[in-house]
Amino acid sequence: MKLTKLVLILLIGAATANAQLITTFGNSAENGGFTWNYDPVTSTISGTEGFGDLIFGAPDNTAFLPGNFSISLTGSATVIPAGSFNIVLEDSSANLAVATFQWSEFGGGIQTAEQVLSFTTFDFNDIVGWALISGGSLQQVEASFSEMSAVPEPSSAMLLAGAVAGLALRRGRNRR
Amino acid sequence: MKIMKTSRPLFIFLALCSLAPAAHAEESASVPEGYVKVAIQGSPNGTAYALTQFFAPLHRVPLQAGRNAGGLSGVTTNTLSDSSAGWSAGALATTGSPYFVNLTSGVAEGRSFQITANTETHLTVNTQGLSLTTLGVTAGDTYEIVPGHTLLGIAGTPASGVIGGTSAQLNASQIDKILINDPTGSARFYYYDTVASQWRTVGSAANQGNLVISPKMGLVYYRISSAPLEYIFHGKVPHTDSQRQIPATGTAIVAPYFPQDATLASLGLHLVPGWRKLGDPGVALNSTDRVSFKVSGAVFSFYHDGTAWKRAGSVSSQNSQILPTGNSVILTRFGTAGQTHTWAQPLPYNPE
Repeated sequence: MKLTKLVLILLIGAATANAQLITTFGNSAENGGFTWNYDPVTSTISGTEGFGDLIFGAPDNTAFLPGNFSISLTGSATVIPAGSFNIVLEDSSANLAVATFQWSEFGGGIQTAEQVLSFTTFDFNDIVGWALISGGSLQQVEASFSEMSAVPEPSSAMLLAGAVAGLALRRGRNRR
Repeated sequence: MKIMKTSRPLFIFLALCSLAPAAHAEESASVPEGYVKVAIQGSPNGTAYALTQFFAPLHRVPLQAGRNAGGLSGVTTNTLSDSSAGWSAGALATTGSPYFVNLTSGVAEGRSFQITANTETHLTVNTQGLSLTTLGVTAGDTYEIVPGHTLLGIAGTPASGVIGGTSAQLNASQIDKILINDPTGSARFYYYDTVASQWRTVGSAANQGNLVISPKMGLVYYRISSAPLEYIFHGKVPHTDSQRQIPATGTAIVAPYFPQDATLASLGLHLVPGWRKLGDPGVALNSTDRVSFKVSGAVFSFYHDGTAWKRAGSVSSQNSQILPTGNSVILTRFGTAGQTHTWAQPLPYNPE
């Protein structure tokens, strides 16, 4: 395999292989809502989307690679409110990182959407909880989610990929 | 003066200056007057609503003849009198121009009632089922007259940026809408009907532009346009304690009343008699009374566990969580229908 091809594969691989699972919902998610219901068997939210309805839990991973992350969320919505909901991560100092999704992103079958986390101060090495929080549309919702992951933003991913590629190049030169 | 912090997103700017209120000589000349700008957030993409919780944080200055403040010469269950008032009969109870009387001393200090009729010396007020005498209002207590707002007056029209339309467009989530508690206490959506050129509510053809917005009511603006709006409120800062009744069950959108950042603990809602806390007999997490407002862009609900304010999914105390100036809060309660409880708030600053 030519060295340039190897580097390309490493770059692509490094940029895509570092998503880290946060939760698969199901029984690892608790229902903190009061106008919507959460069924842990089907991972389905249904009912009226009120203010501060949520499902929450402890993350599968408590430490992510340093850097800025996006949240990747996979699910489908069959009854779609006109508005948004939020994914919130919390670190042990109660700092929050928030990503905002539109319910409409999950219409038309199973979809995977990705949104950037917004935060002021956040420790990605000490995450204690996650929550999916309603947007307060007061409309009906029915949606199920299967997986939520943290994905490094391109800048973080490319830094990592660059480092790996650099190592590969150096190794190749040493062989020659 | 220490009351104004201006760095929060909702509040772009608050300017208060101690203007001498020469036209209102009977009021305290030391109560600051000024204005507040409230930013209504635009939709992130023009198709999904952006929510802004807000309220009218200053007392407007009365424009009617007669005393704006004074001492009561008499009290009945639903009337207040001032033998020297000199009001114009009916002027304080005109449709589209609501007035409130605030009690500024005595055991009912901080209570506020809408004036429903008036003579030169008497005010009839809407006590919402309470009795003024039972509340302890007596002759000699002092009062002030404060103009209220209307929905039209606060929200404006399409000419001022509101995205209006038809009820069909409302149902399709294509126009702006505002969530307010109606006069019966139910939270309802209101929208600007561009065919009738008036504010309406879902399921009614009546003009709702004159819906009265009291100084203690909160609103939630659902903005569908990506362009933000800005509201400017003129008036004076509240200068007394606050007391009010809040329903024991259902959703109530309320104003924290004072134009100042507040912590969750300082709101004092956990001190309201009957506030359902986690750990009380028969109270589980999903049946605790809650207060909801935006933090970091997400509307969180907070409950009290008997020791501290908490957020579902978090073990951290939220007592110090900041409610930014100008934000209304949403109360969701699970108590007995038909009951109300008293929410008392001491004046959090010295307006002198």
